[in-house]
Order: sequence, then structure tokens, then C-alpha cells
Amino acid sequence: MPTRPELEAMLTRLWSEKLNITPVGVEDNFFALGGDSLLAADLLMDLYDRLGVEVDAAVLFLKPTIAELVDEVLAG
Amino acid sequence: MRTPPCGHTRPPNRFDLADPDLYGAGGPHELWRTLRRRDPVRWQPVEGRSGFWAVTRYPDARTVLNDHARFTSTGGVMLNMLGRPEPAQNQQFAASDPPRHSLIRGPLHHQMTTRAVARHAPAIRSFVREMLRPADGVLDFAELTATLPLAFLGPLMGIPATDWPDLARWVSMSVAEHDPDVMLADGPSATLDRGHRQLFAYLLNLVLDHRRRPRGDLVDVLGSMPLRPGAVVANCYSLLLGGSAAIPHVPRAALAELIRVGRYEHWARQPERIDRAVEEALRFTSPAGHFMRLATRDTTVGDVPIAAGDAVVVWLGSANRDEAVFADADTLTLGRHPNRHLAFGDGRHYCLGAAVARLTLRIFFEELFATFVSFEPVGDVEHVRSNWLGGIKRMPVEGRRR
Ligand code: HEM
Repeated sequence: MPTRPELEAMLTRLWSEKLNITPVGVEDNFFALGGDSLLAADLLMDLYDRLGVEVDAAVLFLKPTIAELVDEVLAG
Repeated sequence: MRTPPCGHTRPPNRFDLADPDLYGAGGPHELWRTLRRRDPVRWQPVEGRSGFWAVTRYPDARTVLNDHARFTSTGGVMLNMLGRPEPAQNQQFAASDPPRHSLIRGPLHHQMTTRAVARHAPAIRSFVREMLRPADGVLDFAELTATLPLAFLGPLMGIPATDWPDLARWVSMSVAEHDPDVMLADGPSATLDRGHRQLFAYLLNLVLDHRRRPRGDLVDVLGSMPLRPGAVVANCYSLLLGGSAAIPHVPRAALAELIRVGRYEHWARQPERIDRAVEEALRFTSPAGHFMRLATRDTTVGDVPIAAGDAVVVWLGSANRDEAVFADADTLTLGRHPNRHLAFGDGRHYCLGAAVARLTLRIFFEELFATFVSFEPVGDVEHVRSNWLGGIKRMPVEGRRR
């Protein structure tokens, strides 16, 4: 299992790639950064396919920060 | 001396067709009638946003819906998208124009034709019988019909009955965001976002579940297309919303009217005319109240000039009561033939679910008529507060079983 800093770095890279912006902070809100529901779905599917990490989709849609997402991955 | 025009035929100066309060007592039929006569393509300003053209006559409605080159779906198709960017543009077939539209719709359509959906009839009938089985005496007909979409959403999308209470609430938040039953304290816009995100999250999990365990249903068809994951989910969203929002309102509003005019028994005695009953119920109730397009170029509708980029909203509920096309348009009657209503829209975006909706409504009315001798009202009907969803959310009645 990757550590919190590793997960945060991974997710930050993925968010930057999807949203086409840098830097991305761990407390930034995905939708406030310009993300939409379609991009959020792409991102979760990437997490699942590329990194083998599966999180409940509701976390990204309802608590859309990297910090929350990492909490969820570590808890799962 | 000139007589001033009669007051009730003059459009009131200040009204807003987007105002959900207009719909809290059923469709604004008086207003629509006046607009059809006096101002059939009317500019509607909207506070704080750009306005839209309101199209209320049947022939103009058909023109707009059939001409996708002049009137595009890519800017969103419901008023709640007015002035917002449509992220699903060209990704979701409902928000695409041909030829892109047909690439996604085509494979789904194979499973949605009248022939293809006929195989679901036995499952739909047993579902409906189960729904009606415990119903007797005083009941809320809105509550009784709330699960109707599950009759086909199970077979078509693999949605389990246990998920329905949550889904039904999120669907209401996404199509009737002004209704006090579902509106969040943060207002209609926050309600819309929340409902939408809940549904997206749910559907993403559903897509993942289908990847692990394919069922050969519509979700699998979408999953096997060359689409990015977000687009697969966005199309599932169209299917779910289209499939669940409108259909329960057809039997509710039709039964309310049959009770009001004392015609339930007359209709129930004629099961051989069930197909006409279904079409007339669809026309009369028109639960999907409007659809929107954006003009792609400077053009006209019924001689009124429209500028490129303007929003054009077709009011299906009004077109279906156009007295120039339907005699006694405000009367719900089994005798109506032909009945080329627009409840399912028209043109390339004609409702994908029309065949399964017709089949389900037919079965529902057959079973209802076979089960109940009569209905009496026992309280006031409550309408949905929404400029899109025309319908009833509470309907206390007393039903007497045969
Ligand atoms: C009585 C019930 C229903 C009514 C009144 C209704 C009404 C409509 C209307 C008016 C449109 C045209 C939208 C436009 O022009 O932009 C439409 C499209 C659509 N409907 Fe329905 N619908 C019903 C049931 C269903 C069901 C049961 C499903 C799915 C199982 C469904 C799925 C869809 C989809 C996916 C579209 C988009 C089609 C496209 O853009 O090509 N609908 N519906």
C-alpha cells in the first residue's frame, strides 16, 4: 500500500493532467478548479485502471479534494 | 368607438415562463393559450441571465425539433442549463447533433425498438401487478406509482429495487430543483449540482459493476463503445433521467382528470381501446414540459427573427394543446384519432424510450382498469413545482377494487 505522501503526489499529478493546471493543492476543490462530472468520472476510472485503486465514487463527487480522496483510499 | 381588446386574451405584462411558481397548480394552460394566439414566438427575459424564445404553437415546435442544423442540442436541452456551459456537449447523445448523435444512439436503439422491448413485457406485467396488489381503499396514487420506472430500469440497466428511494430523490433534485420537497437550503442551483453529482457517482459505480459482471443490457452497450469513461457515465445519466422522471406522471395526471370529469369507469370499460388511451394520456399530461435548443445562425421561427446563439425553448405542454391541431384540445378523450402529439418530442432526438414507455403505460392502464372499479378523490392534489416536469406529487384517492 502506498503511503500518504506517495498517494498525494500521484493524485496531484493526475489532477493536473486532467484539469490542465499546475500547481494543484491537496485541499483544492476539483469542481472549483474547473473540473466537471465527466472529468471526475475519467479520473476515478484512471485511478482504478492505472493504479488499481478503487474508491467509492461518491467521495470524489461529494468531497472533491485530494486530501479526502487519500483518506478514503487509506481507510479502504 | 374602438373596444379595447378583451382582458383575458391579452398576455399579462409581467410573467416569466421559467418561473416554477407558474407550474405549481398544473400547466399554465391559460397563459399558453393566450401566447399561442397572440405571441407564439415570444422573447422571455430572465433575470440576471440572457433570456430565451418561447415557442408555444405545434407547427413551430415541430419545425424547431426537426431542424437540428439550425437548432442545436449541444448547448444543453433543459432551461436549467440556460447560460451554463454544457460539459456533456458532443459526449452525451442527447447533447449532440447528427452525425455524432447517431453514432452513440444507434447501438442503443437496437435494444429499444418496439420489437426489442416486447420481450420485457412479462417482467413489466408482473412488476405492475405486484405494485397494485396491496393497493386498496384510501391511498396516495402518487406514492403508489412512484416505483413504476423500476419495471424496466431493472431489465434495461441492472438497477436493483433497493437503490430506488435514493435514486428517485436524486432524479427529482436534477429535474425539479425548485420543488420544496427536494430543494436544499442552499437553493435550486446547489440542489441541481448535488443531485447530478450523486447520480454520476452512483452510475460510475454501476458502470464498474457492469465491467466485472456484464449483463448484456444498455449499460454494457455503452461500456463497449469507444467513449471515454465520463461519456459512458453521462449517457447512462440520460437513460436514467429520461427513464425515471416523466413516466409516473402520465397515469397520475390522467387519473386525476378522469376522476375530475367522472370518466374513469367509461375508460376502464374499454380495454380494447388501450392504445388510444395511452396516446391521449401522453398528449394530455405531457410531463416533459419543454426542451431547449440554441440557434446556430440568424434565422426565423414563424416570421420572428432569431439571432445566432439565442436559446429557443419549445413548450411541449402547449404544443399538445394547440387548438389548431387538436379539436377540444383541453379535453381528455378516447375518441381522438389521429393523435400525433409531441409528448416524446420529434425529429432525431425523438424519445429513445418511447417504445418501452408505451409498453409500460399500456400494461399499467390495463392492470389498473382490471383491478379497480372506481376512484374517488379524498383530498387535494399537489403539483410539482418545476418549469420542466409537469406533474403531480401527492394525490389522495380512495380506490375500490373489483
Ligand atoms: C412518458 C415517459 C417519457 C416522456 C414523456 C419522454 C419524453 C422525451 C422527450 C420529449 C424527449 C426529446 C428530448 C429532446 O428533443 O431534446 C426525450 C428524449 C429521450 N428520452 Fe424520453 N420520455 C419518456 C420516457 C423515457 C424512457 C422510459 C426512457 C429510457 C428508458 C427515455 C430516455 C430518453 C433519452 C435517452 C432521450 C434522449 C434522446 C436523444 O436525444 O436522442 N425516455 N424523451
